[in-house]
Amino acid sequence: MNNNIIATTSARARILTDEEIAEIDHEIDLYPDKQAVGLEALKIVQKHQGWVSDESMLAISKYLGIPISDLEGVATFFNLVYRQPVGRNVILFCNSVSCWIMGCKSMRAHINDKLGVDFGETTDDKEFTFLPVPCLGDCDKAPVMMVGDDLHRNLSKESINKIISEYKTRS
Amino acid sequence: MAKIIVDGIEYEVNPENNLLQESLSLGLDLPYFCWHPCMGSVGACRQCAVKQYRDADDKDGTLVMACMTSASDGAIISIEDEEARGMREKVIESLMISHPHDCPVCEEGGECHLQDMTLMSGHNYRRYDKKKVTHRNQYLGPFINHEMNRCITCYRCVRFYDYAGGKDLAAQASHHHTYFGRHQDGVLESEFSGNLVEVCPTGVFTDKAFSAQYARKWDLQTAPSVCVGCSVGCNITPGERYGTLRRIVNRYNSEINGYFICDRGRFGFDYVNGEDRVEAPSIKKGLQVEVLSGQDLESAIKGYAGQEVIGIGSPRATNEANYALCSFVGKENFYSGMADNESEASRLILELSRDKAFHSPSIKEIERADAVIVLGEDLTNTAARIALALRQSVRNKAKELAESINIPVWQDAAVKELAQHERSPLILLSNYATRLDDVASDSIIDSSEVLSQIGYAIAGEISGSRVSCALMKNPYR
Ligand code: SF4
Ligand code: FES
Ligand code: FES
Repeated sequence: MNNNIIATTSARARILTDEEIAEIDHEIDLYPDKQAVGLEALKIVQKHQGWVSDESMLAISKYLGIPISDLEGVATFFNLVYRQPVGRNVILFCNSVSCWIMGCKSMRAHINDKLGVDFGETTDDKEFTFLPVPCLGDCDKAPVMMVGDDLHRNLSKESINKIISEYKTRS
Repeated sequence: MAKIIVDGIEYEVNPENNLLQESLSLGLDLPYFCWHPCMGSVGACRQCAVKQYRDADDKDGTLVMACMTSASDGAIISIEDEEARGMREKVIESLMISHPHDCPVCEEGGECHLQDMTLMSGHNYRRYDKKKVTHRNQYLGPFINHEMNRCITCYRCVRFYDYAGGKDLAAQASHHHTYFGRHQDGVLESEFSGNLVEVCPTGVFTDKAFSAQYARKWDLQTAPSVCVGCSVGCNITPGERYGTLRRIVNRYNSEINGYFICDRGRFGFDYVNGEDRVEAPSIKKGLQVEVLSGQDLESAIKGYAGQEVIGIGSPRATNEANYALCSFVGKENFYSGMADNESEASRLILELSRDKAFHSPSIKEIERADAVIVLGEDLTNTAARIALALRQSVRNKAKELAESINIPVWQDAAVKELAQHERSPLILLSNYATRLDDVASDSIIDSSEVLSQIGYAIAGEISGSRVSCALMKNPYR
C-alpha cells in the first residue's frame, strides 16, 4: 500500500462524443432529475465504447453532477456494466438451477477448453469474454447462453462449436 | 405518551419514536446496528427483530424490525420470544460470515459494538467453514484506517457521510461483496470523517494515528474535557497513556456536539505531545534559557517588585494564566496578545453574550431552525460543528413534509425520498465560496462592506425600525 497518495483523483474525464451526449440528453428529458440518469448514461457509454473506463466514469459524473463515488456505486452494483475492457463478443452463460440440472457444467468445461478462458476472462485475441449469469429466464430450453444480443438454447457441444465459429467470422 | 406491552410488562413510551429507540430508552436489551439516534432508521441490518402481536388474543405474532415500527399506543411486542431471539442470532451469524475474527489485533477490540451485540444475541459458536470474501482495503488518508473485511454492511458509514455532506464515500457493488469506500484510494474529503471511527459499529474505520501507538480503551486514562479547537466548546474525552495524549473521542452533550465532533478537534492535538512545548516557567538570561521551579519562580517574581514590568499574555494560554500575569504586572502593563481590532471584537462578543436580549442559539436550536442566515462567517473553518448543524437545519423542510403526511421523521429513507431536493432556507453571506454552498438556498458573495449593509437591512426589517449603522459599533470599520 502506498501511503503517500494525496490526490483524490488520478484519472481525467474523457470528452463524451456528440452521439453519447445526444442519447444521454434524451434520457435526461425523461426523468424529473438529472441524477437519476446515471445508469442509463452508463449503458449508453458502454454501448458506444464497449465498456466503461475510469475516464468515462468521470465524464458521466461531471456531465450529470453525480459524485463519482455514487456513480461507481451504481456501476459496480450492476454486473452487466463492464468496468474492464471486454471482448468483442460477451458470452453470458447461465449457471443457475435449471441449466445446472441440464448439464451446464460440462458445457462450461467445453467452452473453457475451446476458448481457453473461464468465467471472468477474455480470450487473448479479444474475441470473447466469458461470464456467468443467474438465469436467463429461458429455463425450459436449458442449458442456455447469450452471445451479444442473441439467445442460444438447448446447448450441446456441437451447437456451441457452431455458435463460436459463427461469431468468430462475423465482424 | 402511549402505553405499550413488552414481554407482558406495560411501559409508557413516546409514540413519536420507534420501538427500538423506546426499548433501549427503557433499558431493555435489544441488539441493533444500523439505527442511530441522530440518523434514524433504515432497517438495513435486520438485527433488531422482535415479535409483534395484533392484540391480546394473537398468539402467533409477526416478526418486525423494532427500528422500523412505531411505538404506537397499545402495541404488544416480545423481545424474549424464541423465534425473535433465533432470528437475531442467525442474522448476526450471517453478518459475520466473512468476518476475519481478528479481534485480538483489531483497534476496536474492547469498545466494539459488534462484539457486544454478538454476545448479546447469544451467537457463541461459528458454524461457517467455507471460503470467506476478502476485500482490498483503501488508503483513506493519514487519519483513518480501512479494514473492509470487518464490515457487517449496516450502511452507517455512508449514511453518516451523507449526513455530514461528504461526497466521496459510498456503497459499492452488491450482495456478498458490498464495499464501503471511495471510488479509488485517496484522502477522505469530509472535515467530519473522523466520526466514522465511532459511527462504524465494527473495526472497519479506525483511528490511524491512535493505532500507531495503540492502547486498549481500558489502558487509557481519560477525563471529561472540552475541545480547544474553536469556540464551540464540543465535549470530548481525551485519553492518555504513559504521559502522552493518545486520542480524543466525542463526549455526548445533547445541547452542543451531540454525537459528533470535527476532525480538527479529534485529530488536531499532537502539539500537546510536542517536544518543544513549554511545560514549565523559564527565564531567559542572554542566550541561556533556565527552567524555573515553583519556588524559583516566586523569588524571581519578587525580584521584580517595584520595577516597571510588562506582561504579554496570549489568547492561546488559559484565562487563569492570563489573569495571574495581569494581576502581577497590573492592568496598565498587561497586553492580552490580541490585536486591537480583535480585542475590540471579543469585547463586543462578550458584551452581547451578557445581553439577555441577544440570544445565542445552541447547536440543538440551530439544528431545529426553520431558516438560517449566516452573515460573513465561513463556519466550516471557524466553528465546524455549527456547519454540521446547519446541514441538519436545511432538512427541517423534509421533516415538515413528512409530518404533514404522517411519515415519522425517524423513517430516514422515506423522508429523504419524499423531500428529494426540498430544503429549508439557508442564506450564506460571505466574502468567498464556502463548503456549505451546496445546501444553501442563496449564497451571496460580496465585500464585507456590502455584506454588513445587507446585515443592517435585515436587522431593520426584523425589528421593524431602521437601524442606523452608527448604533452598532463595527470593530472592522
Ligand atoms: S464499514 Fe462499518 S459502518 Fe460501514 S457498513 Fe460496514 S460495518 Fe457498517
Ligand atoms: S436457470 Fe438457466 S435460464 Fe433459468
Ligand atoms: S437496527 Fe433495526 S434493522 Fe438495523
